[in-house]
Amino acid sequence: MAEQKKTTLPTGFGGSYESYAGDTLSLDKLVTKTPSATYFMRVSGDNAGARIENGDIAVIDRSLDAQSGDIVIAIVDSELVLRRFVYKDNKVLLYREDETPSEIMNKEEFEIWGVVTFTLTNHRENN
Amino acid sequence: MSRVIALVDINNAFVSMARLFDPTLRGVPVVIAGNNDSIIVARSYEAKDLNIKMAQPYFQVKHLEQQGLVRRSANFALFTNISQRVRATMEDFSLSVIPYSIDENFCILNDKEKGSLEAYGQLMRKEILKRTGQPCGIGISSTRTLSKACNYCAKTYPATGGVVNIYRNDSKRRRMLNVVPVGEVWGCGKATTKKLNELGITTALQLADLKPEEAKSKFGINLSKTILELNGTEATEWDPDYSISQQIIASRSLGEKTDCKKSLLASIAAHVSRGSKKLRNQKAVAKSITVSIQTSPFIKNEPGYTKSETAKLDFATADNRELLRIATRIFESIYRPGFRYSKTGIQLSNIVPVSEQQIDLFFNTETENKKTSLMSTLDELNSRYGNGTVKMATETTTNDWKGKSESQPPNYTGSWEELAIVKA
Repeated sequence: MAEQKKTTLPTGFGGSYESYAGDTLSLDKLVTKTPSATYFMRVSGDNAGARIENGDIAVIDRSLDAQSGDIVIAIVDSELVLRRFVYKDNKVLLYREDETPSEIMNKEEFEIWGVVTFTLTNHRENN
Repeated sequence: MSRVIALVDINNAFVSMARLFDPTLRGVPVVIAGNNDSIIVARSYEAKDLNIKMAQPYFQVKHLEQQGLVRRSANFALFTNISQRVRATMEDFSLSVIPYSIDENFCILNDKEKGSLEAYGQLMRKEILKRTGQPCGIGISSTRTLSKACNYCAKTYPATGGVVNIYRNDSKRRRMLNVVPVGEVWGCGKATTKKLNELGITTALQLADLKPEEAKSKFGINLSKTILELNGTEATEWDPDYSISQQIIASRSLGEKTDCKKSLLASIAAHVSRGSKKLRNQKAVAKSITVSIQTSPFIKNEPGYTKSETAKLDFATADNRELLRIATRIFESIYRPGFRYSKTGIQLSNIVPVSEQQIDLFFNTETENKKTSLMSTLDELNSRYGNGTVKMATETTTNDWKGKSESQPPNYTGSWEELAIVKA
């Protein structure tokens, strides 16, 4: 954020008005914490419990380590899948939230591709 | 005091880049093909194991598809993007990054890391893999030539864990150079290597132990610099100065006289490619471009037409695409049907060094930087694998322009329409 400095020049609105220029919210800055590690993917199918819908854009930060409870992109059987990652009783669970935990796996059976930090949903047909 | 110079080299770069978003490519033999999918420009380890060679025509190995060989085309927008992410990660670990090619970058490390430089290299390697999915080899020493040699060892010997550091460790330097063939030394071309071998010099260590003066008289100044570098003294230029020409002309008589707009435009596109490459080689940009077309002055019984026109660009550039866009516009305005043209040409003028490129209000530095890096990727590939490996679409005259190759990886990082799909 640019620093907001008010000037005290006696120039009517001019001084203070100009000093606010440049403060525009950037969605990019909000969701992209580590540009070199941030990627986007398109979600296919939905994962209702995680409130993620078909067609959403997932923002993924590969610089993060997955914590239990994170939504992640994982590679299972050579396929990119979106799952919740849970670490429990020394076991790793990957699951879709609308079902019972669907995949309980050994660590060797999958790889975490990256951690999902945001998803973007289009709420209007013609966007 | 010598600087700590690291070389970070992406293993099987184009394959590794294509694998990032496509897990089906992992663990199987993959090659990346350039030049209309015909020449192999990158191989996975599995493909190397099948004895597939670099620059081999694809048709020679096509039968290996039965053994699981997969071919992908190059996608330079994607590859350049991933290469930039590797560089950006390196920036976080170093004092400065000096790009060398799309898959090789030098960087200067803080020598306060000394003592644990190797561990630091491992840390950087791990982070690059994590953020970008790219496996790298890293060589660390006090010169670029030595770091390249270290990198060779890091790649060749898995026991190194991908990082070889010989900074300020002379006995390690000698042991390392002893296992590097002289032909692998940076700056030793085929001819030099052959000559050295004839003198009984086969290892990098033997070369390092030559007297620089002796090498200078027998092989010239460059090899004596290489020897200095192999002994730990920086001797090669980081930023060679290029002399800049005032204007660049590219023109050629057409093989056959023609009034076909498409062929004429293709020849102009080829001229623009050559001209803009010359510009980029000089690290310069042009502010004006002239396009000329003419019929043969030697044929008397046909109507003749000669026309040229110059356009000033809004911003000086060396970008092939931008120059081609303007050249096409000029061509469209000067072209007249009904003449059989014999020659086309372009001229670039108002040339200034990139460093003096005027930057005004509408100039988007970020976009310009991206353009520059895409262009340097293009030049690099053409110089590595032969001119014409990568071309602008307009340069292809064939009518059966197929559009995007089916085996090309999508532009995952540069197009919302081409994002990787993840199953929820």
